Formats: sequence, structure tokens, C-alpha cells
Amino acid sequence: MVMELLTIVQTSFGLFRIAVVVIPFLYVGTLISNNFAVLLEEHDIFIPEDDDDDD
Amino acid sequence: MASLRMVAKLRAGVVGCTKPFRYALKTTRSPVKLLHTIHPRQPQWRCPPQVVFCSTVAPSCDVVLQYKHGRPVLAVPLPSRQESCLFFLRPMLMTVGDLIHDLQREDPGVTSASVHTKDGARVANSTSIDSLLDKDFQLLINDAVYNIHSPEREASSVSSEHVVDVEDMKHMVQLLHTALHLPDHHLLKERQLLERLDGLKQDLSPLEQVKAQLARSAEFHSSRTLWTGVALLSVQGGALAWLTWWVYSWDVMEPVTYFLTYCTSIGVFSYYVLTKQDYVYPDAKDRQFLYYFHKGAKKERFNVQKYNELREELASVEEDLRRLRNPTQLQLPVEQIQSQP
Repeated sequence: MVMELLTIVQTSFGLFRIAVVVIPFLYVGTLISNNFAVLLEEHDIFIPEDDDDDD
Repeated sequence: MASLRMVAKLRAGVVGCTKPFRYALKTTRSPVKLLHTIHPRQPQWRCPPQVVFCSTVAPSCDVVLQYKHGRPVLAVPLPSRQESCLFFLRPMLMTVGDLIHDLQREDPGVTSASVHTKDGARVANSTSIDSLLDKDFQLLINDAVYNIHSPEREASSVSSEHVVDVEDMKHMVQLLHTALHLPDHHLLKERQLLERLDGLKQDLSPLEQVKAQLARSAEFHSSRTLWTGVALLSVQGGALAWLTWWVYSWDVMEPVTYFLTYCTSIGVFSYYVLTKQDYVYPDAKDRQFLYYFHKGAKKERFNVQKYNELREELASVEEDLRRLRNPTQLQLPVEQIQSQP
């Protein structure tokens, strides 16, 4: 068991595979949240007040 | 041979004796008063106080052999000046001849000195003091016979020599038998272990193939679980970022993020409560692996328990072989079984 700990486990194209998974799903997240916000606004559950004046 | 001795001089005045006193300082004192003037460094022994009042008869009391700090000490009254002299004996290194020689060297007035057993038989000069001290003996100095009682020795100084009896013979026979037959026995055992090893490996080989296939599939599934975890984290990150900067503001989103984190910690604690394991990534992955493995094993009808038993037996046989092989090649005793950590 100690020898397993001392060897480096390397996934081939590791960083690329991580990027391939993370970036699209990040985008999917934005889509989901946008649709969710639209849904909330449509059903009058939560409408944010627009604070345009920052004085 | 230089023998280390401490010579103790007892100041005992003898009434009617014409021997001069040793200490010039004490010449004015009456002889009787010097009766108990003993040098403080010297040890006490029983016989001399009685000697004081007999003038011409040589002391014939029992000379005592004592053990001081583990060393045997013989107190011998020397004939020339009626002084008792302490001889420190070294049982293993000295012989009777050395003792007699020391006696004669210490007091030239000792014309003849010899050691006899209690029955009167003379003991040779080459006898070691060690064997002499096993029993009581007699010391003859100038026709004066001293009976010396040898006290019980402390256990540490007694050697482990003893009379050979039947138990020892049996033990010796057993040792001989072992020495003659052990290598053959080792070879026989090695052969038996190798046969068992072959049998086990043959039983295991079909099981090993199925197990390897199941392991591959389980590894794939558990790995997929991990990548799914990465994806879900990205989804959460993207959603919250979008909501914070593009739709609502941080003031709206902050409580949302806090409660999301809190729900995550509830989830982690529930993981512990349900599985009795810490939520750490390697262990969680192994857990998933085993779950998929057993699921696959049930589908393929693979007997995991039997496989485990065979593997354990194989490990113990290999361990026995390893323990056996070293001594067989090096002619050493077999290593004892060590409990596994």
C-alpha cells in the first residue's frame, strides 16, 4: 500500500479533460440559472428592485 | 601471580604473651584495654575475642568463610603473630595451590599448609577454589586444623552445571534427532507447500479472470461518478456566478450561497452517519468502486467470499514458503510467525 502512495497517478490529457468537462457545464449552469430567474419573474415570486442610483 | 589482598591487623593484647605491640602510641596503655581496639575499616568476626586470654595454645576455632559484596573472604589466624588475616578469594581464577602459596607468602612462619576435605583426604593444589567452596573443608596450618564451613552461595554465582539425569539425556537425544532430520523435514514441508500453491493457483485462475473484468467495469463506473461530481460543481459555479453578476446582485445572492454551503455540510455529515466513514475522496471512491463491483458480481454470479478465502489461503502459503526458503538456503532456524498489523 505504501508503494501505491509513492507512485504518481497520471491521467493522460488530464488538464484538457477537466477543461472539457468544466467549461461546458459552467455554461449549462448559466443557462439553468437564467431560465430559473425568468421563471421566478414570470410567476411574480421574486422580482428584484433595480437599484440604479448608487449615491 | 599477584593476588589482591587486604591485610587486616587486629590489635589484641594477649595476657602473658611476650609479643611486642605494633603501635608505638599505644605502648603505655594496659594490654587488657586493647582488647577491642579494632580498626574501623575491618569487619567483625566471632572467634578472636575468646583468643585473647589463652596465651600459648594456638587458636583452633572454626575459621569462617564469609561472603562480602559477593566475594568469598577467608579469615585465617596466622601462626607467627596470632593475627587474623583476611584472604579475598577469587573462586574461578584461583586454585588451592595459589591459596597455600599466598598463605606462605603472607606469613613465613607457615611451614606447612594444606587443604583437606571434611573426611581428611588431601585436596590437590590444582583444584580450583570454585569446586572447593561447594562443600566444607579443613585447612591445616602448621599442625593446627581449622574446620571451615562454606556457606550457601548466592544463586547468581552458581553455575548451571548439574548432575546429568534422564531428562537431560532425553533432551540430548531430541536435539540430535532434530539436527539430523530437520533439513529433510524442511524440504518435505516446502514440497507440500508448493503442491498446495499449485492447487490454489489452479482454482483461482478462472476466478481471477472474472474478477479482473468486474474490477475494470467497477473502476469505470466509479470514475464516471467522479467526473459527474466535477460537472455538478461547475454547474453550481456557473449558475451562481451568472445570477450574481448578470441577473441579481450579490446582496440578493449571498444568503442563497450561504444556505447552499450549509446544505452541503448537512450532506457530508449524513454521509458519515449513513456509512460510518469520513467523507474523504479516496475512501468515498473506493466505496463506490466496491458498490459497483458487488453489483456486477451479483449479476455475473461471482462468489466473492470464496474468492476472498482462496486469496487469503494463497497469501498464508506464500508467507510460509518465504519463511521456509530463507533458512533452507542459509541453514538458519525458521522465522517465527509474526502477527499481521
